[in-house]
Amino acid sequence: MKNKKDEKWLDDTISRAVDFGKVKFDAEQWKKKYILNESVKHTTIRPHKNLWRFIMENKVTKYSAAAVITLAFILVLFNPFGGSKYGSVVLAEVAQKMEDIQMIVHKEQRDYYELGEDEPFLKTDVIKHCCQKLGVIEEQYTTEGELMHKVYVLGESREFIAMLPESKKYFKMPLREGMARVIDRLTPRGLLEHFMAIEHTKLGYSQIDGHEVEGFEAVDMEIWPIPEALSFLFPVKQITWQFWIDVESLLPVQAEYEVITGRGLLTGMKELKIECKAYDLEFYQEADEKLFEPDIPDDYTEFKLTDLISTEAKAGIVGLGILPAGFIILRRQKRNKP
Amino acid sequence: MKTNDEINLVRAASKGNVDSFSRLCECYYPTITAIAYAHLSDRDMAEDAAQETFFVAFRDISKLKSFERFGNWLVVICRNISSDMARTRKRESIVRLEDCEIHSNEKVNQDNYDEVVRAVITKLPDKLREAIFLKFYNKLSYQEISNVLGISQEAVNGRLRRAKKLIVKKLCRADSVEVDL
Repeated sequence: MKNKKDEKWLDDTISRAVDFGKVKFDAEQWKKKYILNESVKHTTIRPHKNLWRFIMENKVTKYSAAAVITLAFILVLFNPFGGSKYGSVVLAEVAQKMEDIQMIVHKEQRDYYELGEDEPFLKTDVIKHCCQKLGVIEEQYTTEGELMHKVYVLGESREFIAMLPESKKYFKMPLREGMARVIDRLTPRGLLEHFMAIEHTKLGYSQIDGHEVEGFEAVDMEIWPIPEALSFLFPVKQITWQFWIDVESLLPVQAEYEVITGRGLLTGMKELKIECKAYDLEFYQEADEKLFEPDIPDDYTEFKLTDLISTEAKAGIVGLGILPAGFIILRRQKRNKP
Repeated sequence: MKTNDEINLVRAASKGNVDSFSRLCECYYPTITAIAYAHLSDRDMAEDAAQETFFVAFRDISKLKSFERFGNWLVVICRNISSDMARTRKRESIVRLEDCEIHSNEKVNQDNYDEVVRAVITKLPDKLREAIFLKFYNKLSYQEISNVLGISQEAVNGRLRRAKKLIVKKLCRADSVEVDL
């Protein structure tokens, strides 16, 4: 059946489809149920004390997961499969303007939530160096200023290196062909081009730090093409982007993105929401190569999956008879602070 | 409700005045229920979520720093509660899109159309679905949606347009309709 219809028809159809009947608030009933009756059990509000909490309360696990999430982010944000097909004039000009920029340094607030929770289980500050030729360096700190990880995604040696000061561990991984192609997109322009490749909308004008900016927003409708090898670890369901561009300099001033994940091994089989805000962007036409030379301290040892399991837990695993992919944390570890 | 009236009610409620809070609830109930319905696709659960939202809001209203953002704050609480409820129940969509697939040679009646559209809306991203419900169920203006969701009117417009485009795209895929947008 093919009908040529107008938008009014669509509006009417949607109105009918979403009409679930009139609702009316009964204040007396509500007060009786929620305010006056103190013994009422609110079954939908309850603490989430579960394996995920155990995992995320364990610093080694939490920090390691955050480091690998970083890799997933990098692969996602600079995915090599996008092409420019929706580029608007303004964004195309911005991309052109960024052609000569070799490196961007910026700060980022990155908060991790379990989906549905009010409070993030992890709040972090990030400093990121993105270089067209040399790759990306990311340092992620707790809000108390403690370095959680330093990650290098190196363009020339095609290698991913994560250093975890808390546990004095490091993790190295070569970037194979498919993943290495990502490096070729590790440019500020690459990020913009990706943004241009998805359908976006204008948010209008605003002021950020004294700059007059124009905003753009895009929602990824489909699951992102994360490399198959990583999708079971960190399945991204949706990313909402917002870019704010200075209308005079045509350079980005701020970028925000919200990532919703499905249940994956690195999400503790929970759905996560990750809110990020990149700000204080600085643009350079040259990059300091020394920055991109990883210096792994001598007392660091190589990170293995079994490092995620406490000694006590290792002893108990046999008795329990379960070992789901090396991610079991049976006992919360507390670090004794001096 | 006028903004000043609302702010006065929120201020009174933050000092523990239950009646002021109840008036705010009356005002926001349809909106918050719609947001919850957008996440849950079940009227009873949506009403439970809305009432739970008001309970949490009443409990925590002293923490609200900006009285002007009361509506948006309620929406955030409602989203969280609805997501919680959605996770704890068995996932069962009202109508599975695959079950409603329409073949080009079949006669399609109005009820089928509505079911297909409902199924398509159920599959929209959360933010787009919320905008659709606020616009087409609550009949809110762009300004009102903007206030409730805490986004600009341009963003509201963008979300509604994207939602409609997606709906049309999926309806077209089911070969049931063509719409010029």
